[in-house]
Amino acid sequence: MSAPIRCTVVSPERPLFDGGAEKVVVPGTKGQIGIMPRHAALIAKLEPGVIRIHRPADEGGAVSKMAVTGGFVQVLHNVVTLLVTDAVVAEDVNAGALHAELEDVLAKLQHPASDDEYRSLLRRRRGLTAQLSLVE
Amino acid sequence: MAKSSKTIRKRIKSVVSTKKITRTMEMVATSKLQKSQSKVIGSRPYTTTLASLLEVISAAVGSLGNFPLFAKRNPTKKVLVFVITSNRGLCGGYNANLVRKAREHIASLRADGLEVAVHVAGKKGIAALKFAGDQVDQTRTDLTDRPTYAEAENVGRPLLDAFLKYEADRVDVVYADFRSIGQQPPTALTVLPLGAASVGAPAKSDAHAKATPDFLFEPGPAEILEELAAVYVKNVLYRMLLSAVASEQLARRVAMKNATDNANDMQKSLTREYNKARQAMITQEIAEIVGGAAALE
Repeated sequence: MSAPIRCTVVSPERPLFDGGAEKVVVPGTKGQIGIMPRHAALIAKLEPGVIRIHRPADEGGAVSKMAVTGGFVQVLHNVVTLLVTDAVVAEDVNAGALHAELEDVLAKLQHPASDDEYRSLLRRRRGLTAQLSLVE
Repeated sequence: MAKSSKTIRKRIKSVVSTKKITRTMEMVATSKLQKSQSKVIGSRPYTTTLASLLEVISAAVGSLGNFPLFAKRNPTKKVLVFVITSNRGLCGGYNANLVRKAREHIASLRADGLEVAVHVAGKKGIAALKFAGDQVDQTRTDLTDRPTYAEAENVGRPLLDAFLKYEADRVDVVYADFRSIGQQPPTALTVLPLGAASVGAPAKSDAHAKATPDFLFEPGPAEILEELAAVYVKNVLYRMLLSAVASEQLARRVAMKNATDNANDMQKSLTREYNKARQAMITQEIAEIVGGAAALE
């Protein structure tokens, strides 16, 4: 049986993933969005977080995880297309460097200079924790 | 005679070593060209999906006139011209053509009574425009020959900021448009505001879009569009950078190929000259020996 969903992840520089899936979970603006087969047509903005692609059983049934910092998702006719600026897989995560950066961000969060900076720091924190969650 | 054959030999040596350099540069440019072309191909899926998303959302929100990045400023007074040239020379007429195009474009904008701010990327373009005594407002030399999306974001941010803060009512980019191996004309393109005309990317409505059901939007289409537009601008710039780099490498390859060919010709004719001189010297020596022997008899 072929996979119920076709899922592609593309970044501006290159396609990152293309394969079948049984379920795709993405971080939306109002929380996680779970996309099952025959999902309604959808266009949504992504927040920093983790994309989980549940591979079908005949392709190993594993869950592919990628941390993203933002992007868009389009669902149409069981095709899930994710446009992301960058996606990090667990193998690429350098936990030490991320922890250092996270601490830096947390320190700055104590005394943000402006509302804009506060918001961007929060986004960075979410991006970093998402990457760290891949390995921890 | 002995002296001239020695100088010729020296010249041959220098031509050969120049040829080695130009040949190497040609090969380097070829490989960089291939890399940048594969990057162009890699960027295609993203661009097509982005364009189709933009199309769907534009249709959903109806009029685009209310969105800052799409709205045409009336009246348009200040135009920001961003010129993408290379940091390195030895690439034939690449930079010269770009600078000429930029100056023409700026002159025609001024003729229309518009205020022009000029931003230039690339050492060669900066030097040429400054030498010509043109106005250059901002420069940057940090563009590499391996453009990344992050780089495009860096380039795009000041342009977007200037546009959104009403420091510029329009943003034009002058770059070499890599259309094919035979054609990379310097081109001036309006990037902001995003209009139907400037969206040069393949905005083809594929079979999917035609049978488009009602999409759900999360959050609303307007919010998505706002962010999508900024991403779109950056993607356009990214593709422009890629195209500029590919054109530069191609121009360099052609220039270096010509230089190598010329060096080959020169080496041939110099070798011929050297052989002639050598032969003349031998003939003269024989004549002298024969003459000397004849004198002894």
